[in-house]
Amino acid sequence: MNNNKILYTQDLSIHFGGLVAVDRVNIEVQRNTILGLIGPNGSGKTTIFNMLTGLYIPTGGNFFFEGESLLGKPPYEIARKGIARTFQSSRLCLDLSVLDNVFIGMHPRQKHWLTSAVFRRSALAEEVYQAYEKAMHLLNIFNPELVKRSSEPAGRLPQIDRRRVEICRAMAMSPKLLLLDEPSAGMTPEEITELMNDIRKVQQESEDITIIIVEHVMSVIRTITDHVVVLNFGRKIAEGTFHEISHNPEVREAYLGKRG
Amino acid sequence: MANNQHEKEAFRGTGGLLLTLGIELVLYALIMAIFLDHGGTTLIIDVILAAAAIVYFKRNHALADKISATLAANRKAAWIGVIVLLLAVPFVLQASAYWLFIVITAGLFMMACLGLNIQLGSTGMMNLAGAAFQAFGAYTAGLLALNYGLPTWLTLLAGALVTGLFSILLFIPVLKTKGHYLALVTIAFQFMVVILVENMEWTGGPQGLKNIPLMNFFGYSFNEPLNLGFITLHKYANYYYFTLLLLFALGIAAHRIYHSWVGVTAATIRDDEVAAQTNGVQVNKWKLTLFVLGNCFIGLSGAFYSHMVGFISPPNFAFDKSLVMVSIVILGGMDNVLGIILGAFLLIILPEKLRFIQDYRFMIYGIVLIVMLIFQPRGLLPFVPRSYAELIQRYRHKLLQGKKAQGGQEA
Repeated sequence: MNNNKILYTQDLSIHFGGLVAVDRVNIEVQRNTILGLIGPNGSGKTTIFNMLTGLYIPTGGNFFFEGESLLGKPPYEIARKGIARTFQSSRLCLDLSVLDNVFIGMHPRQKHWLTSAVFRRSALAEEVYQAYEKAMHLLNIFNPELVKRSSEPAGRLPQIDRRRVEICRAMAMSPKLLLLDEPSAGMTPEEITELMNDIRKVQQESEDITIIIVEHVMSVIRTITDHVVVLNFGRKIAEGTFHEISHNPEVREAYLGKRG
Repeated sequence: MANNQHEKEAFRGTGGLLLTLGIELVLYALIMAIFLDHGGTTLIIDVILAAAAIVYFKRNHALADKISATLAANRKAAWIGVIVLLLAVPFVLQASAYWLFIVITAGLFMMACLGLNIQLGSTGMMNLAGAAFQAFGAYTAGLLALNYGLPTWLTLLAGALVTGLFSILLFIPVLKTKGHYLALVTIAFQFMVVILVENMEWTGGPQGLKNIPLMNFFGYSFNEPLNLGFITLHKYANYYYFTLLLLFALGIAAHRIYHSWVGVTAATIRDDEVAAQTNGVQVNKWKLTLFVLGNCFIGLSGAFYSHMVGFISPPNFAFDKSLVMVSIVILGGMDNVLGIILGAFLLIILPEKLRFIQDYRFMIYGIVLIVMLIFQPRGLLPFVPRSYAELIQRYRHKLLQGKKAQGGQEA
């Protein structure tokens, strides 16, 4: 059983000055599953993502990925261990081409840098060619249209395609754990349906991938997650399958308020 | 795919070739006329022509696209034409050595700004201490040549490398700051360096360094007129050709760096550091590498200057020079190698030529800057998304061979 946990946290906490943003949260994520992380605004979901990716250093507790503590490790090292993420407000480089945005996801695996760039173009060309094929393959999974527009600046794409490119960038890292931070933000219901298909494609594409998804849209959580963790005011208040938590009185209270 | 479309629209065959060379020749003649004309009439005519051309092409996109497609289709011929025309510059300017000197100065600015562009344009690190780093290169080369009599090739190399090393020193505070604060730190560094140089004895103080040996490569002195047998060119022709050579090498290097993973990484750091980090980029390592690399270019230009002029003093490396460098990068086009070349040419040559209106020249210079930034806020030649088609195309043959070999092994 232990072998099956790809990630777990031990009393993970962080406070900013006097504000306790995340308070002794214990989460376990089973390999090859999709975990939903839900909770009202300000309940600490994104903060947990920021700690898991090394952007914030927890002030208490610890977290383990593949059995190894990654506490205090810099973001780039955590990324290289196999944790990739997307952001709530898209963090694509809008001036850069779609391809370049995907290429940066392959950064840790690239071998040809300054000297090859200047003196050994053929070696670099080979690596570029491989990266190009991989990027095109990824883009094609999500939207064949993206392949055609791959040399356009990412800023010219509609919102849903930008999010897809961001997921492609994360997938380009061949991560073992993918953190999706509110992928449906700013999308229409039709786009959300497409997005859920996209997430399924991610799972099919990779043999070994675990996903944690932060989401407000309950239809997404209901359809695609295997397990759900509910946060409120930085604490875990419930967990279980969607069916279980949706009947949990504490969860209903957190979302809808106390019944007068 | 986009390339194929362009090829269809281009003027084809001999007509395209002639058009390419014709455009180059006309531009060249217009520019050279500026130098040869003692007054400023040609300059004014050229400016009017350029403005008219810009307005015309903005309204006739189709023609502009067709011409640029023609240029792209005749790439090789276009480059050969450019090289021949550039090699001819000392012949054209044979009677006006002063302008040849100015052209070389512009070349040195291009060299420095190619480096600054790696920092500011590609990676987004503001460096307002360009002149200070040039001083490192110039003084290193000057002192080594004066005190130890080292050969020019070694002092030039040392100038570049020592500047790179010293920039690590500045990088420690740079690492802690971003954006406007970074700009302030580099300004502080600029002033510190100038004040230090002015007050230390071994740098010659305010008098600077005199009688720095002029360039000399393995017995060939650049201080002699260049005798080609049928014609004798001014001694500056030596420096001109050497600048041209260095610029080609550095320009190609900068272009190749741009079209590589390094360029992609730098651009990601510039646009979104957090995204870069979470994708496994060691942001600080890359910032340091690119900062040092850029300063090596700047240091080299400083070292070159000291061996060309033979005399350097603190005012040569004052803050306004740093500002000019930054203006060149911003005006020419951030993260665009050709933009830098164009920007340096305009910002160095223009004020020199405007000398005939004396005190008004800097006012006009300022107006030109403002007008250009209003109408072309992202620079004359703005950043264009990288295309890998050319790189892959060029090595396609080899890539396919590799694939076949792999397939063979598997079978």
